[in-house]
Amino acid sequence: MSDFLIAFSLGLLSAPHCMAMCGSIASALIMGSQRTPSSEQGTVAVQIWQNTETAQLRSSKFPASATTDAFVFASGKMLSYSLLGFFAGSASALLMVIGPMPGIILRTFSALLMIALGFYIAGWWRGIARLEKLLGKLWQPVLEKVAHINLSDTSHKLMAGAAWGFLPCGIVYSMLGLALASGDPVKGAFLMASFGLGTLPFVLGTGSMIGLFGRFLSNPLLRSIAGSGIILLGLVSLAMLLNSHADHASMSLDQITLTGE
Amino acid sequence: MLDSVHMSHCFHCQSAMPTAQAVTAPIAGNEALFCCHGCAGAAQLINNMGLKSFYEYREKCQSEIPNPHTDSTEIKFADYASSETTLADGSKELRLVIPDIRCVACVWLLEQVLCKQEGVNDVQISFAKRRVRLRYSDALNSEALITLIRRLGYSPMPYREGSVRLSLEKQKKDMLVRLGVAGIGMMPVMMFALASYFAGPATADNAASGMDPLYETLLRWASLALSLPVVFYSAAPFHRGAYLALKHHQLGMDFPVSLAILAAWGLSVFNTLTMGSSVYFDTACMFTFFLLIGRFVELVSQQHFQDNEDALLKLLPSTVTRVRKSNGKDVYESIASSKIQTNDLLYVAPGEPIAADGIVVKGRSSVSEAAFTGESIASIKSPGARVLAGANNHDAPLLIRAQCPAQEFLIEQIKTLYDEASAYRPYWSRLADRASMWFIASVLSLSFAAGIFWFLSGSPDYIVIALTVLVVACPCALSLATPVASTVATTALRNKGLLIRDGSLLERLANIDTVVFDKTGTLTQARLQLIDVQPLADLSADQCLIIASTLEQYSQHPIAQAFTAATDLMAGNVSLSQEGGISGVIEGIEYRIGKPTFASQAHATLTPPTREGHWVMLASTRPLAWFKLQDAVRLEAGTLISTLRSNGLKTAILSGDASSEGERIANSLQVDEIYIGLTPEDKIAHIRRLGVDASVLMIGDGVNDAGAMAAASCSVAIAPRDLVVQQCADATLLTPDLSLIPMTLNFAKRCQRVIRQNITWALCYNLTAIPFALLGLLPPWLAALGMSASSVLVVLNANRLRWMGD
Repeated sequence: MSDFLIAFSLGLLSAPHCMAMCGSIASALIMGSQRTPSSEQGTVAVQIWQNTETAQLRSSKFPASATTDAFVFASGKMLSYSLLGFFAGSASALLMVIGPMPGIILRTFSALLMIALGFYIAGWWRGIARLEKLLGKLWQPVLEKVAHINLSDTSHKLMAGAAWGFLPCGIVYSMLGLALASGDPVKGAFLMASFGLGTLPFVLGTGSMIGLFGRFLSNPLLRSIAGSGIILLGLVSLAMLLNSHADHASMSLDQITLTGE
Repeated sequence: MLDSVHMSHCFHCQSAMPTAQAVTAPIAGNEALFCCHGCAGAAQLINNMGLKSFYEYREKCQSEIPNPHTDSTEIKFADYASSETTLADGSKELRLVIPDIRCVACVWLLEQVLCKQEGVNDVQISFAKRRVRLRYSDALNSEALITLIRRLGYSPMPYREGSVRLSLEKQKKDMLVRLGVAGIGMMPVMMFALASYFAGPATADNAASGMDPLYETLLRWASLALSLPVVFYSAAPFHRGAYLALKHHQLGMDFPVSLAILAAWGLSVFNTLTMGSSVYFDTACMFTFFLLIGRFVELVSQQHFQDNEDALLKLLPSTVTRVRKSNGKDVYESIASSKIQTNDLLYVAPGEPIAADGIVVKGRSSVSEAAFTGESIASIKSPGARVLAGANNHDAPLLIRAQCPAQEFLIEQIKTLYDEASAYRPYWSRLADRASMWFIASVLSLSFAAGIFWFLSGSPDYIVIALTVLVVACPCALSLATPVASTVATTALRNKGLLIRDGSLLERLANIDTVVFDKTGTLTQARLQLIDVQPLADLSADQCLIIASTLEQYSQHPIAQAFTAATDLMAGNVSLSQEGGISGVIEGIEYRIGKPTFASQAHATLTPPTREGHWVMLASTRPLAWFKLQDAVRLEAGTLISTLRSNGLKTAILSGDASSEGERIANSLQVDEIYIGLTPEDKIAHIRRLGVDASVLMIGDGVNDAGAMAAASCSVAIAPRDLVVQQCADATLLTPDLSLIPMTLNFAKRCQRVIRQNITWALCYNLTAIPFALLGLLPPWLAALGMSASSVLVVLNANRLRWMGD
């Protein structure tokens, strides 16, 4: 199974969590960017909100400009994901110079992280929350930057999307584990990008879907199914790792002894 | 606002809070609770960008979502009373909404069972709107019928405005959940299947890359667990539909689908338990997912029609201000719109919708009647003008006098007509329904035969092939092909201002070869214009005109509209005669205008200068002038006739008017045939004669055309003033825009073309895909996708009719 496929389906399977969390962000950002800069904050926002509501009723989608905005935000988000993936890949590439061992450890770690994420999405065990809290500290400086963002400007919109990508999020961290295990900066960046692509439907669709999905998001059955899916993904990659470990380990040992000569 | 959020839910994502480890963060000065650091971060992000109002509006919006959680079984029979009405002939009518009508086969089933009931006269079921109209003799009561419908497994609900919409909304949500579960369940199952497919079983020669039997078993059990909710929750609508049809000894459209899903799943479970050769969990999941997509698209397109109809209901205000004279003073009171009676005086504020069909008594304002004509530009309404309930008053207050009680408003009739038209199912559709029963039966035997054949020839895939045949051959697209197209077309026409009373009209319009017009009011504006003044005495033409205009401004008669000269004279002692004659005193002299017999009795025998046209005489003590009036031809009439002719249609005029007017108009418009001075009976005879070897479309506007309209193979009434005319005609053009006629004829052809395309496509799809499936060349996922795609394609193709085009 390709790592990209895993990354993409992780994005899809994290839907129950993502729809609730990212969906709200997307709606808020789109609402904000549809507001004219000159208008007064409170009252016009109400109007816009009501307008989008009627627009949804009529054609169940946002007007074209809102869709474009959603794309800009999503691109920003994917940019920062790729950047994170690039760094993770670079770090592991450096580590892999030492030998095959860090690679195996990182792969095992990434599979375990995925299993933990499955438990987190299903709502059975919240170990990932600790990781979020730990890494969430890095988030604070980003938060201060966004205070100056003016959502009527496209480059600012891209920045807002990028900030969104840096949110402390267990799913992203689990994905970064995968990128870390890849041992290749470019592959890491692409892995994160395909994860971002997997979450794209929810970001783009939120405008029309959030209302419909509203009640169904917190459906425990759905969360359990999605969680189990992720746990199984983790188990499968762990199993495949163990399975190939024996052959690969002996093979790489051969290589090492070969190069050592 | 911020702290009013439920404490048990996350401030940002609103999911239920975990029992421990809740996160708090300051948002706009208040401490808010979050389920995770991600959500806390998100809320901070939104707050820092100055968008925190989002949360307030979100809450507001959610609180406004209606929550219709009434289980149909809880509805008491008494609740249906409001949807039962007694008709003029003593029979009763019951209107119901049955939200769980799933396919055309359901319609067929309901029709069959209900029609067989003693006492039921008429059953009309609208598939697109899930609405049922039953007419039955008063010996039968609604309770028995409702119980019967419930026994068939449906949940009828009393028809109330908007209840269709709410139930559709509910259904859509339900479908989305099923779709979501299917999609999320399908993904890992498919991946497991891919993994074991690529790895292949562990054999002697690929021991290294092959999959260990232990993992294989692990994956199978995992797939089994994950496919459980997909097969039994997501696919439940298919199983339910199949079961209910079977219970009534019918083979429903759902049967093959449900059978395929259950068979794939059941065999896989068996093979998992017995460590058999292969599992098809992925096939079962994919069938469910892709077929649900098809269902979902259908549902969404239905909701679109509902939106259209609800738009009509929203036009009317619920309360209205009535003005009453009390002790010589005006008293304003607010009453319910449904209580409006004939001759009530109603006050309409600027910006408000007009609540009644009536005549403007006072005020002058621009009014838009977009709901009726599709024309959004407002027209000026001054005293005497007719306004319609549902139109919008723009600039100034108006005082109107209601012409009829609330039940007879045009907009109410439009709703009824629209309902009736969309309940009609075209010939093709009925045929397809009947055929599909046999189709399904043959599909079942075909797939069975295919399974047997491949089993005997030793193929390991015999089960997959049989299941693929089952799914690929299901005639879902075929049964959708026509009802969707005709519903879309009816809606499109209504939006343009053409109201179809009878759904079969589109079929008939497509075959028209002769178009017959009434003259006055149809080809002409039925509005007289002054074209000549001939002074008879010492007063000049201009002076005569001023005097005439002064008199005519007191009259509402059509003749008066022709006299538009500016005047600052006043007339006293004005009296109006029955035939449109007026007498009045201007600057001490008595003037009379009208027919010679009225204007000047002494000169009653005086004849007009020519026989052509309509002449009016102005006289004081002696005749002063002749005015020649003529009915103006509608501007678009010329292009209309030439367009029709270039489309190869024969045109004719049937005029009740005996004057040579008709001849003149026919010549100027180049109409093929003209008959003048006809009585209504003559018109009928002419239509019958033309109809012997041609298909005739009659277009008229008045009561004298009603008979001819009924005699013609189809008919369109143009902006009729009388209800009778509208009821005789197959369709009503609400705006007097004749250019819509050729457009409609083309549209009808296009509609038939789309229906033919749909049927051809559906048949081609089934007939080409089946051989491939039989040969085992079609993978199961492609079969499921293909079947959904062909249904979706049919719906989308029909949706092209949404735009009538020009």
